[in-house]
Amino acid sequence: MPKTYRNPPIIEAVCEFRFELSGKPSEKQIATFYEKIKSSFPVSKKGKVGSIELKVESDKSSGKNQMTHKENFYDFDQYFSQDEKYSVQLDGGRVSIHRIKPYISWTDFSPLIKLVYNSYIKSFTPIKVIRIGLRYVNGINFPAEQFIFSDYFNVKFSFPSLVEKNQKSIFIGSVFEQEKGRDAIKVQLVEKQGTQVSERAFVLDFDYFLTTPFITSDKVEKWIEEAHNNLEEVFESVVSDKTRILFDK
Amino acid sequence: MTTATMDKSIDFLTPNGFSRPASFDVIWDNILSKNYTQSRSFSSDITNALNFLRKKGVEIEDDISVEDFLTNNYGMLAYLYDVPKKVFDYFGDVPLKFSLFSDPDGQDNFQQVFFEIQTNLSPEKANEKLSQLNRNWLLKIEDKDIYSLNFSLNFA
Repeated sequence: MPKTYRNPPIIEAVCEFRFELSGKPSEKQIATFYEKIKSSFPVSKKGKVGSIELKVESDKSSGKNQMTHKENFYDFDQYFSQDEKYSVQLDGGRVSIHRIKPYISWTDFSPLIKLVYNSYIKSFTPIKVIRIGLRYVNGINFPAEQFIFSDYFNVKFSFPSLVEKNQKSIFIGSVFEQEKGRDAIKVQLVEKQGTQVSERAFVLDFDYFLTTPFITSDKVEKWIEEAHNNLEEVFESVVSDKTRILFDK
Repeated sequence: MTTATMDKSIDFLTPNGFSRPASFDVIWDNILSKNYTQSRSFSSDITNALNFLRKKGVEIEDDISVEDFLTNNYGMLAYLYDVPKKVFDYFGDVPLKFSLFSDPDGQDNFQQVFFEIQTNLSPEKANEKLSQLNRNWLLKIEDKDIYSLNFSLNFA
């Protein structure tokens, strides 16, 4: 039975699938996919991703550095629930289901993941699953006064000659193998540098994913449940009882 | 003065001067094995869009609040990529600041984001340019996601 909190710290939950397709998805396939999920995601919008690439290269003839600048953009489809708290991003061989704050429960989220996954499989008939990821981004704020990191997180790290109470910013990350190397979990704990001096704001980010693309499509739903169970166990072990109290206020 | 010499090309995915943890995140993601690429989330997309703006010279004020706002107004993100070019087309290469305005006493915790355009044009000329920008671009977008995006002028 998944643990539920009155005020879960989850800023965003994402389940992302990456597939190998035999070709570029057709408009007809996209329309078929949307028809299958439309009742849960009735609002359709275009999304956009952009980046600027700056490259510095040395010009051998002049010996001077030259900077080149390239902008890349691409569009993708997105579908939102009526209240826009749930959404789906469709981007060729990549499909993801998102839930933003307030997160309700796994029991609420997982049927939508299954709906989107099954609709994708039926509409695009991918060759194989390349990657599945289940990511939970948590935002947790603590009072800054007399804040001691180890009171709130069961995470051990130290710099012997430096004093814990003088710590002003934290960035910790690690990747761990799971399920005998089939999966991995990427854990990040970052302190955000905000303007509120009365608070210490942390982002605790867990991304659990399949590292070896040997999973057959009939095993995917089982994988997702296992991933969620493993994530929940890791989350519960990382936060202390003092932190847990904040989630039930 | 420091002179850097490089004998091979380098991709500067994160320019110097970022104080946000996101830059470490980007660097870590780049140095990790491809098998460990992370799932794309709203927060990664928002970081990406804000980094795009920064690289265009836009100053982001109180980025934590801006990120929170964009998470709840994710549909606006696609338009943010167009803003610098639209502003520069009308005002030239001017300093831009992106910030959040909140009215906690207002209805439903009213919030809007603003691009503040710093200009040395006369108030009449600047207002005329801003009206053109609004008429020719912003007001033509029939999408409620853009309703919370505004421009303001700051006279240098």
